Amino acid sequence: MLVIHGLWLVGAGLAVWAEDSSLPARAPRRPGRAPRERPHPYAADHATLAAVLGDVPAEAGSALLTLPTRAGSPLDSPELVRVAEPVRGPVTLAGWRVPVLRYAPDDALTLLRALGTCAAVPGATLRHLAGLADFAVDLVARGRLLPVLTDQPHPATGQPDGVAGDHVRAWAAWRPLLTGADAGWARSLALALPPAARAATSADPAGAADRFVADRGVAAGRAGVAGRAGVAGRAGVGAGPGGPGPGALVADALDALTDAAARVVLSDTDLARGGRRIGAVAGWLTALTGTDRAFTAEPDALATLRAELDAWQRDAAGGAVRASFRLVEPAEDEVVDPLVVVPADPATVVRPAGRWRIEFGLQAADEPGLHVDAGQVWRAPETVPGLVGRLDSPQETLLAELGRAGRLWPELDDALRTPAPEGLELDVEGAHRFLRDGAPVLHAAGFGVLLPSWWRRPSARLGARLQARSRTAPGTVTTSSGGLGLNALVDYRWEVALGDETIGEDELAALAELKTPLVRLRGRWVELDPQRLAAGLRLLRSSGELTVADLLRMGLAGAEQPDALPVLEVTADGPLGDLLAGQAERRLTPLDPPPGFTGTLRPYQRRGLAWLAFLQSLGLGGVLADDMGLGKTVQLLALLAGDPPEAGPTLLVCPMSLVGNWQREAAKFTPGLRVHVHHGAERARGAEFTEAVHAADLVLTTYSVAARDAVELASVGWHRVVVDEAQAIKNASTRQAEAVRALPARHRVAVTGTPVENRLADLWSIMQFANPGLLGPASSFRQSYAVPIERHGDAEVAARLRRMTGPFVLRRLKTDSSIISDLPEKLEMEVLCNLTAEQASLYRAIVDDMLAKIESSDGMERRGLVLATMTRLKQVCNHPAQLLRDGSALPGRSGKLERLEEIVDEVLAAGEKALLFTQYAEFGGMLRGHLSARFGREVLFLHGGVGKADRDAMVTRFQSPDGPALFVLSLKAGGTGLTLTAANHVVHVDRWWNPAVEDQATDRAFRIGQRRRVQVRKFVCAGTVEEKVAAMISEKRGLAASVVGSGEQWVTELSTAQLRELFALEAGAVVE
Amino acid sequence: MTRPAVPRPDDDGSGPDGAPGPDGGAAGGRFADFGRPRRVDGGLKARSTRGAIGVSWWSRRFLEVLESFALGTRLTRGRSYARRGQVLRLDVKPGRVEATVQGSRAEPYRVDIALAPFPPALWERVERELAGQAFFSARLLAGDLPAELEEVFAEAGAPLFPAGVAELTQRCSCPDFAVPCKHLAATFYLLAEAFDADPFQLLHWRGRSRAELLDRLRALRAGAGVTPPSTADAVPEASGRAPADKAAPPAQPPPAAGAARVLADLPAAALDEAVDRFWLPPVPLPDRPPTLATGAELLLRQLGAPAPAIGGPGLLERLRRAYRTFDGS
Repeated sequence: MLVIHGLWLVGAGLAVWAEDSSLPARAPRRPGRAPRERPHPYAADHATLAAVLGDVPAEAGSALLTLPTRAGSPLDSPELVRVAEPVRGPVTLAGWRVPVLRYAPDDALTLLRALGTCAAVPGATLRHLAGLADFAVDLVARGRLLPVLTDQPHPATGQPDGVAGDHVRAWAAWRPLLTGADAGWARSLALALPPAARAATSADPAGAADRFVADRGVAAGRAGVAGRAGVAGRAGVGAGPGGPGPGALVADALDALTDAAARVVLSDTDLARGGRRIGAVAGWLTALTGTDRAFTAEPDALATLRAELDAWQRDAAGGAVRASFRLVEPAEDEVVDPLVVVPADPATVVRPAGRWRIEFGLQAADEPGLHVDAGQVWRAPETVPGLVGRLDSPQETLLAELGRAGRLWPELDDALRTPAPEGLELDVEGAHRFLRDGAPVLHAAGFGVLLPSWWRRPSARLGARLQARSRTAPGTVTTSSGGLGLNALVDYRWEVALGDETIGEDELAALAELKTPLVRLRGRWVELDPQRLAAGLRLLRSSGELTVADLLRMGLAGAEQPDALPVLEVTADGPLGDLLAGQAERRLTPLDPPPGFTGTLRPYQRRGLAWLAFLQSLGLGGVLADDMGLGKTVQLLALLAGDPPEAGPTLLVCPMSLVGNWQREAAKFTPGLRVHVHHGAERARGAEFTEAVHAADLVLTTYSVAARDAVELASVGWHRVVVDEAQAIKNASTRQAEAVRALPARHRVAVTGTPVENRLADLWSIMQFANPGLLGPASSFRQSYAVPIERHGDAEVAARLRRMTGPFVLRRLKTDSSIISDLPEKLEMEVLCNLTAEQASLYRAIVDDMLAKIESSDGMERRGLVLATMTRLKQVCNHPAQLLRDGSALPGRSGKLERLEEIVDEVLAAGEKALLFTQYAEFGGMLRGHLSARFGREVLFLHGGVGKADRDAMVTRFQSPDGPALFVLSLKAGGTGLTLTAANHVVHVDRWWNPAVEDQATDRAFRIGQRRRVQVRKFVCAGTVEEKVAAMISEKRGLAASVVGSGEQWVTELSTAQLRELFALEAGAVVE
Repeated sequence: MTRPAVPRPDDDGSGPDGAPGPDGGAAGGRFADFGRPRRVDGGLKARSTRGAIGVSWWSRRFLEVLESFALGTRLTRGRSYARRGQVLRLDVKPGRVEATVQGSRAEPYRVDIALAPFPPALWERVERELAGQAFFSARLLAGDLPAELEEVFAEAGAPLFPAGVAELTQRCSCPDFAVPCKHLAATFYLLAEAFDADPFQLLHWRGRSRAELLDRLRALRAGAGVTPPSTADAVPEASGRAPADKAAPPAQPPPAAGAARVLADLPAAALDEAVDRFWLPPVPLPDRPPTLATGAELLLRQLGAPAPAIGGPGLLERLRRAYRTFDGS
């Protein structure tokens, strides 16, 4: 495998190198002192790099890296997975030379933005730099950047042309303007920069030859020489003895990437168009677009341009201390006039009076919590707490800030006619002008602005409510088909409301007459917008009929046009009303499981069953998104068990790793269900397929087959289509997602354990499966919801989306009070995994080979062979690569690993932590590497080779709230003594067959100090020796429980026939 | 600023024709006797390259006085001197402006423009007026000279701007008999630009340095009944400043654009301290905070138009094209 790493070279751009696990891990030992630099033993060469990185233009070179080194070889990055003997010794830093591909900023941006499609595993450094690129693109989209003039040559600038006469060369650039949250984010990115991203040694004699170094003065002054094709210039910026610090490096990267991102957007724009093409300003404008950043002009003109641009932009960012403006509404007793009371006689509607006030103050720009009132600044400036040290003259700072703010909002000047202004008095119109116009401008310019909390709250504005009445008789909820459906017609009418108050047409007209922008209504201020008032009057005159789907969509509409009334609520009578109220799950009578279901359901599972049946009766799809461990599978099976015999088959699509689990759970809980597995190379086709499907109640298939056999599957009239682990279709444009969405079905259910509502693109795709069309086209959904919510944190839009999708998503958390009492303190589950075809063939080969040897041996030799067979079978159940010890790639080759990824995904999404136990240290190492690469997180790994100090440090870090979320432990090293109560998930990836040992390991998490419920998962490969031994232990069958369950020694006493039975691979073990 | 200033025979702003003059721009050529100035490195240079010097109403106002009296070539030459950087030094003091201007002779000329400072009593009256309304200090500190300020001085019987050259005592050590000579004119232009950049300079010339004025206003505010003046407040404020006779312009903040402004003060973590967490973020990356939804053009609105010297509102419109494109991206 290949792990690619990124380095940012200040003033030059991106350099990429890679570790190649197929190369030897150890550098050849040489006698004597370690040289200053050595060739890295397993860095990929240029051809390999170019092959995985695609055809983005790059320059080949080398870089001298400072890397952690132990016993004369560089240490692997955590993402690199290979079987390596643990090496002991102290870790030091040493110089290693690696081949790199270098990318000038424009190409770096292209590469970093396309990282998702790269064939190799990107390391943390490259992922972090990709985060910087995303940020740069976002800054450009929001216009948070400024055009500047620089005398630092751009790395992409080629050999310059001759410079005419007395002209000198300069460069135009776009630079990020980082204020407020953007400044904070930039600092977060810098603080979290992996040190490996700055491993390139700045003093690099060999690299320097084919690298940059262009003296600044030379570049600016002497015509013709501005550094070589690569790179120049800023190597000195913030460069300490060990290379640039994280701040300087991230600043340079962000500057360069923002410039590149701006030019991508401006590729078709010509800023100098329609003007004279001569002079410094025109040259600068031309150089602000396209890839050629250089231009020439007279030195005087350049100096003027530079000085004036600086002066022009000086106030863009503001200082360390900013003025703050807090709008305070009139005191209760000050509002003396009769208040508007609605509904009321329009004659009593009176304009509210009372003085509004903007209070001035000072606050720290980077810490808005540090705030002082203007009064204190005037009266006792020396006591201004917290701000001391940030400014030496608080009064003058406040005055200057007020002067600057007055330029943006001239009404402020009215307040400055006193010696020591503390605020500005306003009437209601003035207050509204400030709220609507002044506050956003001042806020955007970096001033602190505090507005009353009701402002911009939906309850403070005129809104519309949509009321629907279903045409069918208000229905009793039944599970029979023929429900409402998205296409059923309902009658509707509109109501206009201010906050909670419904307003009639007369009142609305009277409010419109008031011509006041703010009205106090029942103790609350609300905004009256004339355009919205008019829109409200129009709505009240309209009514009619529409479909349920349109009704649901109406609730989501209204965000686009500013003068349209936002839809506050959509209500309906009957079951539709229950659904819209989001109360269905709580209001429905919990359903008892049908007779065909043999298990018992917990109370919340019976409510979940009722909810699923209810949605089905309405003809609507749903998303069952209960927390992991709450039993989504049994709720689904109970629903299936209740289907009438003539209903037709249900198709269940799940990841390959879950097919076996579904098979076994169905056999256990719904033995009457006829299950057909449509998977594997020998799966039924054509008539055989049709026959098999119609003879089944439940057809299991996988996402990959669903995509491959899309046409065949779509030809069946499914009663129901269920997608399990629905995050598999979160990417709406994948073939899998498209195929699954295209399956015709009367009822659709998506099952997922990850919180879909937080990832809006995922939510759209999953909802598009469950209720097609409900959220509108993906592009408009993104524009109207995803961008405002995710980028701008718009709480109002988020609430509207939640309101509209809430009825179709059932997500209950383990911590819900209604759930928690139903759950045991410790929930143990056996998780059945499948073998891949590769695993199965290896497994069979081992059994055949070893049984032949065992048969012809006896005594100690036989015992040893039996134990070796056990070990090798368990290794192959874990992963072929563990058995083969060949350092081959891990993904897609082990059912256990795939299941583990799914579980870890849910654990991480829930913000929880997990312990992963294995008895094999080498497999632990593989897990650590694979999981840290797969999830981009640090994964701790404790094995026998870890010293006590390191072990204690790991435990402390894991227990700390911000610490790593995953901890791989070898059973021997981590099974006793430690307290790891930060975890509430324990996974036994392989088994020791000794419940006492396993329980002891489990108790690392489940012990005093644990406040949550602990979920314990024990992995077992279906149809293998693992499952058979597990069954023996749990059923105490055939052998005395005291014998089984204390390790593996007992196996050696079995006869060859018994061994053959125990080791044989059962049919159905493989699902592929 | 160490870039070589290349003198040009004609700086009417007709564009970079690039051809040096017949004398090759070297000082002491055959036109030296006719007043060709010596080339200067590192002189003070006017920021505007063409047209009128002086952007703000108050610096225009000040120059109007000069231009209404002295017409003709000396003014034009003075302006090009100012742009070329022939003024080596400009020092504003109460009642006096002293400058050194490099002319055609080796020894630079000394220029001195005297204007009677307002008497202390008058300043005290004006200061009481100014302290009465925070507006004046606010605008001055924000870099503006509010028009009302001129009225305050007028009402106190002391016009802020000289009514005519007669009020000014102009001296230059050059042999030119005309007043103002081009050296004086160049000084006037640079002075106008100094007023542009910091309106406190104008008040300094009339007798009150920035620090002095601010100290007095602060004391007056305190005396005006906010609280009794606290010496503990006033003393460190005053002592923390530059001496009163030196009008220290406000410290220039670093350029707003560029990520270095907010990242420069981060601790420089050495690599050898990070050996154990070399490959991973030293601290976890928090969730990204939400950003305010604003149009991409808001920044331009906040900044307004740049100076006319680089295109003013026209440049703003051109840049607006870029920001509109960003918005649609």
